[in-house]
Amino acid sequence: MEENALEFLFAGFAVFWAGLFIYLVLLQIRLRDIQQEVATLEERLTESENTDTSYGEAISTSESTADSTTPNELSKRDTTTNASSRDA
Amino acid sequence: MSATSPDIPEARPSRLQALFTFLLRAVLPVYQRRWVLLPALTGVMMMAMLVGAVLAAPREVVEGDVQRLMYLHVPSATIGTYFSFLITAVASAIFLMSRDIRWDAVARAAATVGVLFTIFTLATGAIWGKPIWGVYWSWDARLTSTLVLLLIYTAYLLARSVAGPNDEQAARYTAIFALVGFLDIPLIHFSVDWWRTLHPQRIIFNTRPAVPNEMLFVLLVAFLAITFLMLWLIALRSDSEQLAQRTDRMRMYLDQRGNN
Amino acid sequence: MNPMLTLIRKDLQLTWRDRSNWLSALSFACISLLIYSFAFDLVATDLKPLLPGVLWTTFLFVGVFASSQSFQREWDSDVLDALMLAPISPTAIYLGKALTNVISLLAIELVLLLLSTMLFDTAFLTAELILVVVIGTIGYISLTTLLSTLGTRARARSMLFPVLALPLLIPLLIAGVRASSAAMDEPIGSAPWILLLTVFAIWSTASGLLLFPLAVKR
Repeated sequence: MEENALEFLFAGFAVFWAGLFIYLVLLQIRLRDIQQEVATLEERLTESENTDTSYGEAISTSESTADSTTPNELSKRDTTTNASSRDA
Repeated sequence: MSATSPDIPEARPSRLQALFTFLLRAVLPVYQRRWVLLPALTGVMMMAMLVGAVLAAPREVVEGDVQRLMYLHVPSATIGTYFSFLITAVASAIFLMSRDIRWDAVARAAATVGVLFTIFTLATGAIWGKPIWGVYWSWDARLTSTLVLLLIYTAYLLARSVAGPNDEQAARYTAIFALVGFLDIPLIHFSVDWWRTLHPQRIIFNTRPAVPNEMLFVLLVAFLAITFLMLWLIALRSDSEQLAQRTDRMRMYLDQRGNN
Repeated sequence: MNPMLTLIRKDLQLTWRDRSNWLSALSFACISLLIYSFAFDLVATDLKPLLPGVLWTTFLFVGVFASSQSFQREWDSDVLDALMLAPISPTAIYLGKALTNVISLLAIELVLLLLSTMLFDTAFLTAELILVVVIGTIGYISLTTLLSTLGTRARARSMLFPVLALPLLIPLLIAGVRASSAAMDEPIGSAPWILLLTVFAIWSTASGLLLFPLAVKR
């Protein structure tokens, strides 16, 4: 009974600490997943913001100075159309 | 509400508001420092509990060393389980009234932690029961009602997890389930109590001699430790659930923008 | 005319017209009764201590089976939204649905009691037992009707519904079985089981009335 009892005592505490540890690890994994998702979303956000603003700029500039479109803006517009078509 | 006396409805919210701001002023600094306070307090108290339970507390005469599991078991069963589920019920009620989805995250977090502590309670109880009762499990009233509690709240978590973090409808339904489940606890307790203890095959608990003061002190430390641990775990979980909600909202927003 | 009565009449008419639903519930109940008698060899052993348990588990499974669908028709045809817009209180909608479910379940249970009277040669149709069955049915139907709104929109509903409903119904099961045993003159403890059953019925009806408006509000 004596040795048995100590074993049971150890088992009880071990279950508690192991359970706690496993729970915290699972929580950590979940948080890392969320973090990864936040990272990808940030990427998407910056991407879409870049394309959106450049698209707006391109339209406004093309409206105001229709015939003097710089090559730089043209290339920007190309990337925009590419990006939007890839998104869709 | 009462059209005849316009003064009273004016006075009441202001007094309530005063109380509310007072409470907020008292609680908010503590709440804001939770990531400093809770881990530190939890760590210190858990260490104290471990030392107290394993080394400092006197050896129980009848049951021997296994009795030291009591310092984990009793606080887990009372604070860890019932208090968590109380938090779930209160947060669900606040969610139903305010429609603020963040309270749903709090309710989920408290239910998760409560289920964790219910499992701890059942596990330590079973491990204690083997050398003392000779069996891991008996259909005793308290054991059975704890098991039913575990079933109810795992069902709650399951039902909530099949829907997305921002699914307002699912959150409302499961909040209602959490309230019904919490109010069911007394009925479960009574029914199982009468079912078992009035039954002939009753398990007779050891009649213990008066508990020494050292044991009571260690038990108090253990109660504090489990309380802080529970609060810390709930805070961690609810913050991560709220983070998940915000991430989900952001993704929905981006999806919508992508489609336009 | 009272809108609740209109709702009940409409629901009962629809239930009567759509026979496949309650006929499948009834045959499910009969099959589970047969399965119990095969599994526990109910013919050979002393039946009386087992029969209340057999009856109540059958009742609960049929009740959960039948009432999990209670708002299905409304969801399928978007009638619930229209009902919510109509000048009817949600409480009346809930009460109407719960009463319809109670009436159909009581009909099924009556058939079951008759059937088991013949199959097991035991007097089931006593006033006391029928009282116990009626109170118990009100108790569990008012809860499962509330919970059936819970599952209606969630995915994996059909799997989840019993998992949600049955743990909450454990007090009712215990009280129902014990009260039925008492009604059949079986020696059981002296606990006031009918009182517990009544308290459960009042509790579940009250929580249904209070929480159903919150469940369907938009």
